[in-house]
This record gives sequence, C-alpha cells and structure tokens, in this order.
Amino acid sequence: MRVIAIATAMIAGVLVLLGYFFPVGNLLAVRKLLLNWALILAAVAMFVGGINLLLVHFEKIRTQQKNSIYSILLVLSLVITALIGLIPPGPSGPYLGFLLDAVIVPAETTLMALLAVTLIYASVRLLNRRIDLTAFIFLGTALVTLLAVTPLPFGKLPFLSDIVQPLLIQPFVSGGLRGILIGVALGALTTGLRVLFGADRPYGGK
Amino acid sequence: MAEIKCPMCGKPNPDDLDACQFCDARLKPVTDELSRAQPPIHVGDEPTKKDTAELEPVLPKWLRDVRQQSRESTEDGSEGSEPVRAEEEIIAEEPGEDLLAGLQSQPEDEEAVPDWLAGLRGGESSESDEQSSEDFSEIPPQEKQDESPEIASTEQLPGWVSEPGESSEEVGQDSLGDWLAGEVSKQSTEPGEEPRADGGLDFWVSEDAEGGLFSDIEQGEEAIQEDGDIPSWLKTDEPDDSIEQVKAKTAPLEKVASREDTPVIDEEVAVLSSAEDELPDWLASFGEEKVESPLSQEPENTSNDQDLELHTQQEEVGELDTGSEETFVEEMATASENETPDWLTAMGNQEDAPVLENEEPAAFSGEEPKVELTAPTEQIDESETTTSAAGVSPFTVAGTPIDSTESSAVAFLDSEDAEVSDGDVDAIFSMEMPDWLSEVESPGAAPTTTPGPSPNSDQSELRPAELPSWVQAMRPVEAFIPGSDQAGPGQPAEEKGPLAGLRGVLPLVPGVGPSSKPKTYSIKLQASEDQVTSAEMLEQMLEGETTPRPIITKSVLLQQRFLRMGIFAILLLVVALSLLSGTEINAIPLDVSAETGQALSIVRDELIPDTPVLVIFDYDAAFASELEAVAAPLVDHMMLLKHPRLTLLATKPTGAGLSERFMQTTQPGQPFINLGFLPGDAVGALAFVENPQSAKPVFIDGQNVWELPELQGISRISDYSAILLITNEVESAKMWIEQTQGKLGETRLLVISSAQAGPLLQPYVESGQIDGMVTGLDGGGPIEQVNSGRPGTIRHYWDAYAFALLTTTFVISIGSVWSLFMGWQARRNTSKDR
Repeated sequence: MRVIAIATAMIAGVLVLLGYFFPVGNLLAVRKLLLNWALILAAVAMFVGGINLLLVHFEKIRTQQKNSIYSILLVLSLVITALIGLIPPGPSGPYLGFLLDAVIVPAETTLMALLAVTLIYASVRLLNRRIDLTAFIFLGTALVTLLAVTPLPFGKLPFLSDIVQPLLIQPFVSGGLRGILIGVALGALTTGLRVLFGADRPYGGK
Repeated sequence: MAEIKCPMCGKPNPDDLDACQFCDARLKPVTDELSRAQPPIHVGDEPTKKDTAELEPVLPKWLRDVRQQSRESTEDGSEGSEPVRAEEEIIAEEPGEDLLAGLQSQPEDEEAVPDWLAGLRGGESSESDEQSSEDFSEIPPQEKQDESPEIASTEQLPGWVSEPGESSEEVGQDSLGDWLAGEVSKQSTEPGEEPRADGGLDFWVSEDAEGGLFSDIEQGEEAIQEDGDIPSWLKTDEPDDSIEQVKAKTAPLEKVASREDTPVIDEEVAVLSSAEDELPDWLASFGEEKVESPLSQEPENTSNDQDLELHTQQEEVGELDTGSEETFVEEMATASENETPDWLTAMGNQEDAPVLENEEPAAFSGEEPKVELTAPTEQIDESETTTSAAGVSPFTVAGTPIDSTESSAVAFLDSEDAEVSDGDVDAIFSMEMPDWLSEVESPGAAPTTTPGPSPNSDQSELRPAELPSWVQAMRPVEAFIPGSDQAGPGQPAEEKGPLAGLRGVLPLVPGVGPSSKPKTYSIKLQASEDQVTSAEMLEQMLEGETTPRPIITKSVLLQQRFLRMGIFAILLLVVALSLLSGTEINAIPLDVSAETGQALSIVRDELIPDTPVLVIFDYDAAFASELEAVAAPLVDHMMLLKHPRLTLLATKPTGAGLSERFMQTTQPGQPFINLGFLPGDAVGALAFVENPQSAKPVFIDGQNVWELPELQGISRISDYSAILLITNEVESAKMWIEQTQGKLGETRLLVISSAQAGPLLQPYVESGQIDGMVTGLDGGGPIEQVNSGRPGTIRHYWDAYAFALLTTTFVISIGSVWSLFMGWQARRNTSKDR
C-alpha cells in the first residue's frame, strides 16, 4: 500500500511537472485532469475535516469531558451555519451575511485588537526581560516605524517619514524580504523535489 | 528429719532423696551404696575379701560378656588342657561371683608388679586355645599348682621376658629352651630353606623383622604354636571371626615375610651375639634365673636406633605399646643392669630363684609361652575393656597382628603420611603411661644407640623420626604443602620440635600473627584536584537545582494584569473617543505611493470599460474592517469610471461571505457574480487560472455559472481585464502571483493588502509581478480623497488610527523606559541577595 502511495505521488508530480515544461498534447490534458482531481479531493478533504470536527466534539459531549459546553456551542454553530448555507439562496443569502456580520467579523476583529494590545504589552515588557542590543534594535525600529507612519495633525514627521522610513523600507525591508522570499522559494523547490522523488512522504508512509 | 544440702543449688533436701527436688542434681554419689555397705579402706589396712558377686548385675554389659566368655573358654580349655584346669582350680579356690572372678588369680606378691602392669591384668587369659593347651600340657598340673608366688608371678611375665635370652645363641643352650634353640639353629643354619607353608612367621613379626626386632619372638611362637598363625596370647577369649579375618589377611603377608624372615633373623641373632658383652648382668643371669619380673622389662638403654624409637614411642603410646612384646624383647636385650628396677633386682635375689632355675627349661620350652601369653592376653582384655568405649579396638592397636602392625607402623615409623585416626589418638591418650616407661628416656639410655642428637644432650631437640604418630598427626601438614612456599622465603623455617622443617607456621614475633592481621584500608576518599573541582561544581549545580525559586506572587501577576488592562484601556479610550467624537484632526495625506499610483493609473487609464474584472477575496474576517476600507475606494473608483463586470472569488471559506458583505457595504446595487469558495489553494488557483470553467463550473444550486451573460467569453484567466486581489497574507498573494505568472497576458494584477502585508509584497511590486498595490489606510486614504468626494470609511477611522498609533508609540516608549528601570532594579536586588 505504501508503495502504491509513493508511486502515485511520484507519477502525478512528474506528469504535472512535465506538463508545465511541455504544455503540449496529452501531457497538458493529463496535467489538467490531475489538477481537477486534486481540486475535488481538496474539497472533499474539507468536508471530511468538517465531519471529523463534528465527531470529535460529539465524543467530548458524550463523555462529558471538561469544557464540553464549548463543544456543544461549536457543534450547534457548525450545524446551523451549514444549514443556513445550504438553504437557498445559499451563501449569498441574508442569513449567512447576518451570521458573518454579527459573529465572525466582530469576533475575529476583536481578536486582532487583542493582538494589538498584546504586542504593545510585549514591547513594554521587552526591556524588563532582556536588555541587549537586539532588544534595543527591535524596539527602536518599531518606535521609528510607528512614528514615521503615524499621521499627525500637521502631517507626518518630516524626517522620519521622508528619510528614515524609506531608508528602513528600501534597503532593510525590501532586501530582507527578498532574501526571505528567495529562501522560501528554494525551500519549496527542495521540498517539492523531495516529495517528487519520494524522500518526503507527507501523504503517509515512512 | 535430716537434710542434705544440695551441692548444686545449696537448698536443703530430705536425706532420703537421691536427687535434688529443686534442681534434680544428684545428692548422693554413685558409690554411696558401696561406701555405706563397707567403710573405705584406709592406708595400711589389710584388704579384705570382698564379695562383689552381688554387684555383677550392675556391671557393664561388655564386662559381663567378657567374664562370661572367660568362663566359657575356661570350661572349654579345661577339657583339653590340664594346666588350664589347674588354673581353674586356683580360680575356684577364690570366692566365686567376684568382680574379677574367672580371671587369673594374682600372686600374693603382686605388689611387686608395677601398677601399670597390674592394671593391664584384667584377668587371666582364658583363651586357652588348643595349641597353647597342648604346649602347657607338658607341665604337670601339680607343678602349676605348687608354684610358689614367685613362679606365679613369672606366669604373669610376658613371653618377651625370656625372649632376649632366646634371641641370642650366645646366651647358651642352657638358658634357652630346646625348642627355641632348635628353631634358632634351624633358621640360622638353613637360610635358604623354604618358609613354612602355614605361615610360621606372623606377618607382624615379619614386618618388624625388617627392622630385626621381633624375629626371636616369632621363633618362640613357632615353637609354641603348632600352626603358628596367630600367637596364642593374641587370641581372645573366644576365637571370634576377627581372628580368622586377621589370619586371612595376614596369609599373603606371612608368605612374603617368611621369605625374608630368615636372613633378618640371622642378622638379629648376629647382632645380639655381637652384643653379648653388652648384655646387662641381670639379663645375662636371666637365663640362669628364670624368675624375672615384668619390671625387668624396663630397659632404658637400647642397643640400636630402633630401640630408641621404641622407647620414645612407647613413652607416648604408654600402655598400648607395652602390649607389644617386640618392644619389650628389645628392651630386655638392651636394658642395662644399672637400670634394672629394684623390684626386679629384688626378685633376682629372692630365695625362690633356685626353684625357678629348675623350672627354667620348662619355662622356656613349655611354660614360657604360657607365661608369655598371660600378660598380653590380659593386656588385650584390658585394652578391650578400656578402649572399646572410644570406638577403637585396642586389639587393633596393640595386639592384633594386622592392626598392630599397621598401627605400630603408624606409631613408630617416621612417616608423614601415616594415618592416625582419631580413635587411635584417643586410645593413646586414654592410656596411662607407666612410670617405668616415662623414665625410658632417662639420661644415659638413648645416647648409646641413637645416632642423632640424644634427648639427654639436648632435650629441646627432637628428631622428626622420633615423633610419635599422634604428634605427627598434629603437625600442620594440610596448611603446609611441600613445594608451595606459602609463607614466603622471608619466613624462618622451624628447626626444632614437631614443626621442624615447616616454614612460616609460627609468627616471627611471639603473640603476633604473621599475616593474619586484616589489611587496613583508608576510608579517606582519594580524589584528584580536578575531581574535587568537578564535585564542587556538581554540588553547586545540585544546590541551585534544589534551591527553591521564588514563586511569582499574586502581586506580580496582578501587576502584569493591571498593565495589560491599562494598555487596553488607554487604546480603547483613545480609539473610542476618536471614533465617537468624529473628529477629523488628522488630515489624510494626498501623496500616494508609487504602487498606489500605478494601481490608480491602471484603473483610470488601462482598464477597459464593461470588461470582466476578477476580484479575489483572500483575507480573513479579522482584516475585513481594514481591507474593506482600503479596497473600497479603489473598487468604487473603478466602478464609477469603468463599470466592470465583477466576478467574485474566494480562496478562504469565509471569503464568499466577506465578498457578499463587501459588495453590499461598499457597492450596494452593483451587479457581480460570486463564484464562491475555491478550494485547493495553489492547485485550485492553478486550475482556475488555466480553466476557470472547469475549476468552478456550477453554483451551489447547480446552475452553470459560465452560461451567465456576465461571464460570456471567459474561458481562461487572461480573459479578465484585471485581477484585483484583496489579501492580508503574503503567502496568499505570492500564490496567486506564482500561479498566474505567465498566464495573465494583458490582464493586470492589482493587489490590495493590509498594512502588515504591504511591505512584504513590495518586492513583487518592484519586480513588476504586481502591477499596482494599495497598502493599508495609508494607501487607501489618498484614493479615497481623490474619489470624487465619495464618502469612505478611511476618513472615519483616520483620527482613531492616528491617535491609536501615537498612543501605542507613547505607551511603548514610556513602558520600555519603566521596564528598563524595573529590570535594572530587580537585577540589582537579585545581586544583593546573592
């Protein structure tokens, strides 16, 4: 079984890769077919994930584990949302919009606001936990960026917004990000090749 | 009532009790009955005849058996032996049922007999075998009865008394019996003659004959015994099986000995002949005077080394060895006249000596064996009775040919491998050493014959060859293995005493063992400096681990919580006051960035009116407020200017709802096609880029979306005039950038990102992969300002946003300084504590 999984992954990867490099004839058709299968499998995987989530929390409710009340809320919310989404007019209907506006967006926005408070608190406590050059650089960069982007009644701070911020963005931010992106791309390429040659088997098997 | 005080517990008891009623200790001695019956005999009192027959039942069984056997043998012997019958008559004259009844009567002058010999005489040997009876039959019974006490005493003399004279031809035929003379002459003149088939020489004689000791005795025995297998005196009261077994065992030895006896005997005779001059007077007159006391057998001077050995060993063995005739024969042969005991001298001067002279031939020829048999037999009996309890037959030690030979060999030979059993040792110690024997090694006795250092000259020096068997048995032979010098070369070797030749047996210093002291080990730990240092470090580490760390108290936790609450309160207060107040203190800047300007330019100039535009909603609900505010001015600007046919697509599950929300809030009433959620991330994006119809073919209700008029003519991604990607994640933007790379054609890719993702997407803008980008409120604000004055949300958020950033900067700055001070103070306190 493991050999079949490995062979399937390798053959599919090679065919798709060949379809990229040689988008002709049957290779292109096979690549498109495989991509459609992958898309369907991804959708089914989400459905299976939803089912698994329901089962897990049903088990918690049945065994009356700790904080099972939240599991009840989750199951109820999932079932209700699913039913609202399946009932016509579907996702574009007003009920689902209401749930989105009343629950999802405020909840996630609140969490984002808490993140802002937490980041401020961490910055305040930074020098209390460690006093070193990295901490001072990190904290100083944050303060300069904040001051540079902060709109003031009289506009932005001329020195920071005109000189310091571009100086920080161009050489440091752009250069650093390019390096990060290149590194990520190389890592993704290596990972892809390893998966393609069967060295890594994220689909299962050791 | 009289009371007896218990000797054990001291408590009084009635005198009629035999045992203490308190401690069960015996109150009366065992001999109390006898003492009561007759008063004790005091010194000088004439002994009275005692009737001890009534005490016979209390005798030990073995003693009763002996007495019974003695009676039976006496009766049997009386049938064929008149001398024995005469003895019975003598015995019969004595009161019957006496303790010693049935034993040979003692002469009146028994006091002349030494105590040790008297002790050996448990009774007359009633073992009158046929041979001895026949020999004694030559003696008239009347003569036996008429024998004077001196003669009777001679009967007590062992045969060896007369043997010295027999062993020497020079003693003269007058002093030797005819039978002995004949035997001696026969053996001396016929050395080559075949030995007797019947074993004329006993094996013990034959073995001793190797040393030339007892050959003469053997010759006498041959004359006495017809069959000559076993000396008559060695025969017990009853001819038990042991004798027969002894005979059987000795048969081969006898044969061997008989072949070697003759020359040895000759040598012995020759030695004795040569030592004729050395014979003491008393011995020289022995042939003339038949009457000799056994005490005359106390030789102190020996004529050869073997005699000295005999004396030395007899001193150790005691009475046990006295039963050996051979020893006494040699002693007789070598005893000096000066050492003749007084009693023997007195006996020689007694008036009855002439009478004995008349009996001399008979004594040597016929009666002598009889007399000779007496003492050994008694000795055997006594030995049996005394040592049987020890489990060792005395007969095997002193009397029996085989055992005596073996035991004598063990006892007399200087053989380290001689085996001496415990029983033998006990038997040796159980015997009382006679006085005369203890004086054997008196000065002047041994030096005459002993080649080595004499005990007289240096009593501390003992030759190993003279060690008795029991001393040899005590030698630490097991602990010392020859050849394996366990003690080491440094240990001195013993030169004297029983341990002579051994090394390291005795400690060098008296009282201190050589090596038995246990080796002492220091309990101090032997560790190097590095090890000690490492141990100290380990100890410090363990101490640090075990030292309790201060637990963060509630005050600290409360302080941190207050700090978080304070930050939140400050931000909330600032944002809330700004939003609620609706202030517009901070002006939105009009300057746009390059990427924003490119995006705005595309919308204004390049976008073809009424063309399909794909809007991808790829952000989370948390960023909905920001991205909606940022994207709304650009979308509104595009909708106002170009009226594109919007197709909405989401790559996040909540994207479909957010897209609906966005359109309803920002572009209410405007037509659009919501394709919904596109699963598969990169795969889905690739599939949609290559073939949108196959990637998202139908609606949720099953309607073919691509048949709608808004979507006519769209079969691939490049059919859209522009792609507007709204995202808050770099990965999502990168995915779309990568998957659409090379497939967009003339389609413009515009990105609307959050403030946090904008800088990360800046390289793609600079590389041209993104045609235009609007980032955050700073990017959307200028578009909103130039959007023909349409109301937007950026302006509403702008003051709150500005005050929040300012407050955040202030809080971080102030808080960092305060934290720096608090941290420094905490470290200072910690340093003080340490």
